[in-house]
Amino acid sequence: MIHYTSICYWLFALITSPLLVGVINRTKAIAAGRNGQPLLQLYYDIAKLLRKDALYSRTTTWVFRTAPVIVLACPALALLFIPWGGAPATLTFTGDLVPAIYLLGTARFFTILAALDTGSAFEGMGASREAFFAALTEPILFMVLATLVRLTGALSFTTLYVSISPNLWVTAGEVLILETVTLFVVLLTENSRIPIDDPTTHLELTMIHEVMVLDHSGVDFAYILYGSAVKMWLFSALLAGLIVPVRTANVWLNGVAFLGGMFCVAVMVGVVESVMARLRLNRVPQMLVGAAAIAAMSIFLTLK
Amino acid sequence: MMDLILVLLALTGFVFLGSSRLQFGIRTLALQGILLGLIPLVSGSDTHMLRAVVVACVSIGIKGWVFPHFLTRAMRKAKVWREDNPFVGFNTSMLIGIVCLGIAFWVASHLPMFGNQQSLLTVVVSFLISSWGCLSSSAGAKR
Repeated sequence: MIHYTSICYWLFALITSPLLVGVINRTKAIAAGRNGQPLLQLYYDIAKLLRKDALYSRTTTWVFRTAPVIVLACPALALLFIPWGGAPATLTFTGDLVPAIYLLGTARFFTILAALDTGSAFEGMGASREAFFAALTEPILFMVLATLVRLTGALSFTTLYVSISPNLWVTAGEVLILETVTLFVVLLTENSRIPIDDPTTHLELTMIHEVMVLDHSGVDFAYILYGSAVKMWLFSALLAGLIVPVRTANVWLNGVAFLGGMFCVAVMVGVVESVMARLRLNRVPQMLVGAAAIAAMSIFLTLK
Repeated sequence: MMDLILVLLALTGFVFLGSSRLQFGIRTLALQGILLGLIPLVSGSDTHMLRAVVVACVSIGIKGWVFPHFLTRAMRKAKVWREDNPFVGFNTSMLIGIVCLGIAFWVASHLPMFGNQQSLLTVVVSFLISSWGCLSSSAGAKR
């Protein structure tokens, strides 16, 4: 089912998603006692890159040229399935959870293919790490969603998030706390944030996501940066919808509460990045297995 | 409240399985002891409150302070600070922990139980802590 009234929410999310990255960077700057970059820095970066031409290596093929478009299009399409506060998502149907997640998987698949297409050893290394961590993260995300489906009985994002109410927090608070923690770890992993990956690092040996996009430039790199921001918005929206269960008849109140939740998530990411160092690569799977343990625990708790 | 304590108990078990530093492991066990000590307070009836408080205090004192103190002393005497090459890796330990969790829920749901629904989670966590204890001991014994 298509909700035409929700298209404005989708457009709003597309427009403001780079701002979310700005809030994270500003939080980190405040925590470090710096002025930091402007809140709209990512907009400036994207605008600057859009004015530049892309350079292509002779070793690359059409895969390398297509990947940035897919990396932007897939999260933008997946965002159509994500509801906004109490409002329905633009596109909703039974089982829309699966295509939404696999759209993100498709974006990752093409990022990895493009990295391998360059023939660079460093990009291959980053692609290998990304695929490994994604293989651990995706089941965790499905376990989180399975638990929410089990709790609410809903099979689409819209009905699922409408069912998450303050009452549910009272009756199944411990499960929802576990879900929140797990979803936050998934958010950090999927968006390559500290402690999993460092988005600001430029040391090839330690990079995961950034090393895969080293060879992209100009318009293509702008698409990738924008796609990452949209993906960040998507995961933050999933988390905000869980921790701020304001579902009233007043759409403005719901919207403000939802945006407040998004702001809190961005600040939380910024705080985590300020107080934690990046984990050693061999510790990352351990953290993800830990998150899987918490997700398993929450799913079993719903079965009792 | 009871459910929350039981969930925290299970989580501390997972933290213990994934920790390589012995001091951190001992502290986790101390926290687990304190949580176990709180159970009589939240599950006891008002008529036996004094008895529950005494049991809780003794339990917290022994498991939360005495045992960790002895373990820390033993660790310092042996001059061992961390498990560098565990027989069962940390990731494998946690994966086995998840399997144990599944088995615990399966076993608990098939056991005849008295009382209310809360007793299921109690059985699950009891089974989990026992199985994780066996897992940690066997991994240590093989080294």
